[in-house]
Amino acid sequence: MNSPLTIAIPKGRLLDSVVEHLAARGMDISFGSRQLSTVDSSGRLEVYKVKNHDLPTYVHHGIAGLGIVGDDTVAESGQSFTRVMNLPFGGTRLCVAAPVGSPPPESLGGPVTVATSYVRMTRDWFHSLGIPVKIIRLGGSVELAPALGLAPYIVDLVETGGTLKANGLEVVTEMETIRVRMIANPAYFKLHYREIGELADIMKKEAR
Amino acid sequence: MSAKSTQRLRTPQGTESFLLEEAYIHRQLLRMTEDHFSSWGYLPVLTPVFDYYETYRPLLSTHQIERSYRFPDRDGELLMLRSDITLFLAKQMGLTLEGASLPRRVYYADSILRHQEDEDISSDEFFQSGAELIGLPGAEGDREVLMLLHDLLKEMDLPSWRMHIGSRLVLDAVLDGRIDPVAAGDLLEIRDADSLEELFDGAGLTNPGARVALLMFLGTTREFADAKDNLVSACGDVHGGIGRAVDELNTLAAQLSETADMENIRIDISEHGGQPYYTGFTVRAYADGSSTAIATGGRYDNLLGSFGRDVSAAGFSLMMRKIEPLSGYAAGAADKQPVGSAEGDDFRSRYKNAGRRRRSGERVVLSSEGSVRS
Repeated sequence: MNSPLTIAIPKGRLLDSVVEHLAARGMDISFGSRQLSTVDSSGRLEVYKVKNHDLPTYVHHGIAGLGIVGDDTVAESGQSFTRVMNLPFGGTRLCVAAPVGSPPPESLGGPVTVATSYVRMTRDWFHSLGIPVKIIRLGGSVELAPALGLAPYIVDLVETGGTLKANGLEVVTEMETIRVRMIANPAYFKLHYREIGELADIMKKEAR
Repeated sequence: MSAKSTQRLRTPQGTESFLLEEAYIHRQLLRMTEDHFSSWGYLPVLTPVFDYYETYRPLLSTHQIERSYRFPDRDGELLMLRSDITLFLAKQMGLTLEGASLPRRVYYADSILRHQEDEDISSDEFFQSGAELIGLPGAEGDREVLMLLHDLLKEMDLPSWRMHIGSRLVLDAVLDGRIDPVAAGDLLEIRDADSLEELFDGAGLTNPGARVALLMFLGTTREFADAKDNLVSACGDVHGGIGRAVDELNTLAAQLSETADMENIRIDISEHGGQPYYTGFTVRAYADGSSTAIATGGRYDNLLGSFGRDVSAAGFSLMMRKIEPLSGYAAGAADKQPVGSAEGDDFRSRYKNAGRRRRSGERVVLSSEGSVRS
């Protein structure tokens, strides 16, 4: 058998879904206590568990040839990767939200102040509409920003909208759908396209 | 170290220097590359470090403009640092080819300066070496350039390497003049089949899925020969531009099989060259251990025409800093020639001993390392 493909998987909200998806297709992964790398039960994958926002960096440098990550993380990294396949879990929406009853920012006709962790995507989206935007970068809990008077709008990932509702906010515009994908370092893909294709075929199969 | 010295020793982000053994390996590999080009009858050329931005602006994509460094000269003219040797070389050749016999074969080895976010170890300064064959159109020129690269990569003794050959003609035929090749090329680069199909569908192209499948083809030359007819007929364009472009690429692949190690060759139609000036075959080379392509090139028959000389051209550039750590040749060059120390009790005898040994090819220092404290 060839040496295993290297793949980075993200800690955080996607980890359980990724591990479950692989296990259901014969690639069981278990990490020992504090262990961050392992080989799956089939010997097909050498798996690295990394922080979500570091994942594109590992794949970009070819340390991991493959990665499983959301579009948002890739877009914020500013790097581009080969898109191997979409995965059927973890999808979400990037939205502009504001206190209930606020007008959509497109209708203001002037500069908009937005608090967000998604600086690059926010800037690109507002610029694509020709709307001047002042972006305030936050590391998380952006739902607090309107209530505390930091910014009238936020841009954040929205799954159920429950957190927004609990903070008196609502979605005013959906910016884009965020998918979870398997990505590849472009040069790694070129040298391992056959093995990666086989892996993608297995990943697309129904669970055993 | 004082705060003042620390301030002086700061290095701007993106610049790179390499010293001592690393620089020695760089030079050895460069020398081998230059010898290779010379042995094929190529002559060296040097291009200016900066030139008028206006000269190149029509030939640059938006991405390239964003990456380039521009600044006004003392008269207010906007200048651009050399961001692509092929472009600067095209102008120089355009100026000097008047009345010259063709083809001309040239090579270069120099730095380029551009901001490239995806290269964050040395994101502004790169060292490129490459060759250009000017005035030899068609298959004869394509084969010479591809074999020049093939033999050089072989000589570099890389761990596992491949040349991926594509065709700008196939891309242009598939797009049928209805879609901006830069927009399609960006999606092709990341192999985003869904978005490409959506783009083709939106532009009213027939059989968008089949067109995407053709552009995504990646396989051996034999697999390409077996699959091409089905791929083309699914596009509904057997006798049109797509069929002709695909046949041309297949012919080139068949011709290459007479001289190249075909296990190192792949047909990869998603390789569109990445530069707007390509007009024919394109090539990128990859090696195990490099996170990006180590060489890129192709045919650009209209480029010199932009500088007043309507002459065909093809060539490639090698990213030398990517190759150096992987090359068995470079590693061997450093191992084969370790630096020895001259023997003798005084300077005179050490000098004579060193001279004798140098004449027989050794590298010898007069005072051994560690003999002086810094």
